Amino acid sequence: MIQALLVLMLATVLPIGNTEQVRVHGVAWHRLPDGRAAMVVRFHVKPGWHMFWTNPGDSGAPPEVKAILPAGWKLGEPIWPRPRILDDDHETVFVHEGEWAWLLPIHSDSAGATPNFEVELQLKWMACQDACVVGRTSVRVAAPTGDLTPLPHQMDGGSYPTTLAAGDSAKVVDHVLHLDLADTGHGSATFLQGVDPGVDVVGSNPVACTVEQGRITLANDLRIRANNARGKPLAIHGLVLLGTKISDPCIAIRLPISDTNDPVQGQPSH
Amino acid sequence: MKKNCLLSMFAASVLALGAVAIAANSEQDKKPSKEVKAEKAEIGKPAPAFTLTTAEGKSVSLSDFAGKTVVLEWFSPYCPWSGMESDDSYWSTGRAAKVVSGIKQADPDAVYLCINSNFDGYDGKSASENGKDSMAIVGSVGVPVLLDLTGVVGKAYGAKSTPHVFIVNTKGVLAYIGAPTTKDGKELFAVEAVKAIKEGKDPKPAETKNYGCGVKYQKKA
Repeated sequence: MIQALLVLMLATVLPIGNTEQVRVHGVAWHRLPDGRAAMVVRFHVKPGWHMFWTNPGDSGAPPEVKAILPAGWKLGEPIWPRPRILDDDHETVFVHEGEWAWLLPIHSDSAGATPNFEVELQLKWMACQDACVVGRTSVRVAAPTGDLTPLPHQMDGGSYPTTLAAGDSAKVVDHVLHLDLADTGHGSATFLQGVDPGVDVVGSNPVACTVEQGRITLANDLRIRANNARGKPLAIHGLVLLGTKISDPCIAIRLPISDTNDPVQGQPSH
Repeated sequence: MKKNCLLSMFAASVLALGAVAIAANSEQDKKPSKEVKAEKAEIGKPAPAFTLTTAEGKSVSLSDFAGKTVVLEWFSPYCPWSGMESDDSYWSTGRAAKVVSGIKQADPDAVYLCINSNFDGYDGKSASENGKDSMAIVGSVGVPVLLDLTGVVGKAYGAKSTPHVFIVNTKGVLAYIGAPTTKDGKELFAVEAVKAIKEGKDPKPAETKNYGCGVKYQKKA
């Protein structure tokens, strides 16, 4: 207990970066379920303003980070909490409001290693209300001391993605995304796509899933344009959002797409 | 007075053109309760025709540039990713000038136009102030700013952010939609697209993820 408290106290970031619209008000170390250490960056967004999810939607830009790490350590892909969907006359954007936390995993060649060094994070973000601003700060995160505490399932009211449960499936066949998951009683489900160069769900994003007879299912066409992938492997990723509240669960989906036939030359077979 | 004059010129131009897409959107504007989100303009389909007025009062139509590659950049002088001075601004960091110059090198006949769809009164600015503020930023590069105060043209193209770029090829077909460059300015998508069009090829990529501030269309009451 004392050790856990010490970890939280010593991992507190100094100094904290502030702008009028967004404050970075703390960074704490946690252990992710996959064993990696992660810095959890806490943002406070001024009421009425919002920051953006990894796929901001029709406009916006997600936060960016550069981490100064010792040799042998790498920053992993950030983990985002479930976003709120803002829909108005002209656009749909996927956002984070109020208090929210961004997970920045780091890993080394030695699995499960605990970092014992200070990290410098260079953060940049966009925040919008009617107008938009871009903010930046550089923060130094003290090395954790002692064991890292496991990541809570929720922070600041937002849920973090879990993985598919046993018996659930997600696949891409013939340019169609298929989902088949157990219905856990949240009433509705949608698939929200991230940014995947060269791959887009056909129709609007997010896409509504069918919920009936205890299953959540989706069969949605994908528009695949390998020419737009800029040399990156084709893939689709996103979240299955159960229910409608940001505290409801969400499930991460990430699927490589091996079929690289470019529909510019030949349309999907289905 | 000037605002009314601009609006009148715009309305007259639209009527004269009879552009289907624009006319359809004008109808929507008359019926706010039935407004739907603009469909995205699509690669490989004809670019919506338009006539707009520049910040300096000159009427400009897409058809004026028939047979030329036309780059349309949605722009706002009040957005830190677009015209406002910031470390990320497409214009104030010099990225836009680099793109405009790269396009001219790739195809001396190509045309670069900025379109400002901020509604009249956005951020407390009149149409006239919006136009002047826009020209103060892009005028030195020799790029005209077309004012789309009703947002009809922006909606016809599906312009969502500033910046957001649409490139029309020499046949009047949309060939590229997306960001002008990567956010760090290292990849100049718009220049590469114009080069490809000049060589008779389809741009690769033909679509990229746009970023920036939302286009400030007039919201319905």
